[in-house]
Amino acid sequence: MLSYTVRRLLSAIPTLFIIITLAFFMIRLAPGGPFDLERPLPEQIMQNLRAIYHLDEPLVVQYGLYLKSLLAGNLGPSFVYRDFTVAELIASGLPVSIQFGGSALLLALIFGSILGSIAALKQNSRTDYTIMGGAMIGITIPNFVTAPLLSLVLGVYLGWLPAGGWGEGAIENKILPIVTLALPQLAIIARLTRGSMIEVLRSNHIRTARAKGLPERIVIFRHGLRAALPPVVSYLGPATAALLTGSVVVETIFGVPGVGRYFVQGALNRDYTLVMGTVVLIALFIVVFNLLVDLIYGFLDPKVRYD
Amino acid sequence: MTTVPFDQAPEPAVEIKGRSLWADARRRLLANRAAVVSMVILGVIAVLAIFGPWLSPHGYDQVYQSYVRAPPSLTPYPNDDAINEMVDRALRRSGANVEELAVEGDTLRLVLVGEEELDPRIARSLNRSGDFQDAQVVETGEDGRRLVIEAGVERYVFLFGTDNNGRDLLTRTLYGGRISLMIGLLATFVSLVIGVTYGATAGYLGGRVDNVMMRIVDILYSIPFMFFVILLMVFFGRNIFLIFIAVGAIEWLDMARIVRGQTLSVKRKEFIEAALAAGVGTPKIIRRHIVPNTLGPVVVYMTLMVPKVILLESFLSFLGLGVQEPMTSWGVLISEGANNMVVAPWMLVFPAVILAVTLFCLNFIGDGLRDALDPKDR
Repeated sequence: MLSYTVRRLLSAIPTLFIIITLAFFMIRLAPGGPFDLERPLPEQIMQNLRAIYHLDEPLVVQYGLYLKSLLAGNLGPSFVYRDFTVAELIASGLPVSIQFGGSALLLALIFGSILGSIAALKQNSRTDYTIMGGAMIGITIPNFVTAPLLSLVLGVYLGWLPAGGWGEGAIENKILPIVTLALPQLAIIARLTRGSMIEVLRSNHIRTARAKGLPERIVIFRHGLRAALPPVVSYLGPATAALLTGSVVVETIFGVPGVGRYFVQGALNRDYTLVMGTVVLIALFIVVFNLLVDLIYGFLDPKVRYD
Repeated sequence: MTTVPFDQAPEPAVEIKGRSLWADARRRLLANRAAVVSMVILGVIAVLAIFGPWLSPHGYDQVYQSYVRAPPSLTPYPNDDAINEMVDRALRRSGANVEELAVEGDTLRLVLVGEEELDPRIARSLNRSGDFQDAQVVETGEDGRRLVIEAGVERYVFLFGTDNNGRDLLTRTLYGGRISLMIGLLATFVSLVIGVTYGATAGYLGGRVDNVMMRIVDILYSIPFMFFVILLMVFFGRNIFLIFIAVGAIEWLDMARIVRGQTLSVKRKEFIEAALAAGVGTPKIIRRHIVPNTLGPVVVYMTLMVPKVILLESFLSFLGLGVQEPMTSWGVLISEGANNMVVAPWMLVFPAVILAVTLFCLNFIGDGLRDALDPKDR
């Protein structure tokens, strides 16, 4: 398994390389630059700035320099947030994003798998239709609709929760963004669980477990759910990577200081290093979580062998 | 050899009619209540989005400066209270009292009385206020102390209210729907063309070509394309056509995989062998046996992709990277609505509900089609 892990990580290197290269040249070829302000800077200052950041050198040289500093673990200084390095910006936002994404994921996983199992156990009953109807709503309605609607109803009309704002991270301010993040994932997980649970419940090992006279609870949770989880787990890989690296929409609407906003903001401001930093971060998360998923697969499904 | 398209082929003389895959699928689809209802609703939305903006009395970019963020209402603006106020304002210093005020359609009928003789030029002060047109004295009585004036007043109905700039939200929602649906369909079409061509080529040629082509797809899969679309939109202008191409260019990967897998499995089916044994030519095998059998999942995937693309476009527009003013799309409207939801909740609610209903319908139709075209549970 160790050699499998190493091999997987090695095979991720070309992918990462392609992503970084594509992103680098796309940003650099874009019109405009990080120092284009409303009032143009004096020519001499502009030249000095460009010289400091090596922006006056040929693109290929800059690319080489960037790769070199990246290999040394240096993401470079931010062009727009003066006095901050990209690493500092990410370090300040990532914990927040991980906290939010992680809570949302946990919420979605627990409630999604429970609701999905209930729907599967009561297949084609009214409960099943209600749960699946709800899941359909959760999947189809995008979070840039649910976020404002939730904050309008729960925040403005009912006044139960703060409608927006960060409030120095008070717990009430965290509920709405986490719920908004969790809802679509919850819906997808419920659907996936239901689908695979229905199949599992018809399988031989469940019949055996029941024939042995095991209590229904154990049949469903230990034998049923465990066998039904692999499709959910394989979905969770990319989903976790996306959740933990923050959501632009939720962070913008609720004013959460996470890393999700940096990519779009960086792109709009032509903050080259910030954009590259977020791309590298997200690509790394995707690679790592896809690998984790494949490893967890092995624990859930003994038929999987790493060779 | 001349080939006869199978739908024009002469009917077999035998009584028992064969059921084609598509007739069968249609029958099952029509038996699915959720799918049928969804198709009807979606049809209504599509027709309204296509023809609505032309039929609407308001232009999608027409600004009514006096009606900024007017709440939705079934009765026309200005309402009677507002007309009273407007009349009071116009007649403030004329010394005339309003005895009777009636609005019929677009005409306002005023009966004015005064302590002294009233100046008929009062009518002009009504015109000057800008709220009324063509005010005229139609009757004078009681030695000029009583005037009957008729004036035109422009009244508008804003069923969905108006937005921040005083534009009719209903017209804008329909117009935005037109853009959103168009982007959804066109981007899906782009990805369909690329995906089916790529997938069918890989599947049909097989061997090393297939290996290389699918390896490329695998690598492309692991690239977070959402970023590249955002970068593309940020850097190279917010052009609608770019959205089509960018979205279509990402979404073909799944389509290619589906078509390839389908082609591979269909290629080896017994009925293909049977057709070969019966002496059917290759083009006919592809047309009648391979294509219809790959088309099922493709059609299903397409219906599920249209909502995905609409969502993607809405997301980009929400970030301010999509369609630009004064053009609009559901995403743009929702993002404007979200920014004004406390003062003008209708700006969020109407577009959001219509987007949600559309996505819902498309998903139900997709599910219905999948059930209908799945030969397993016949």
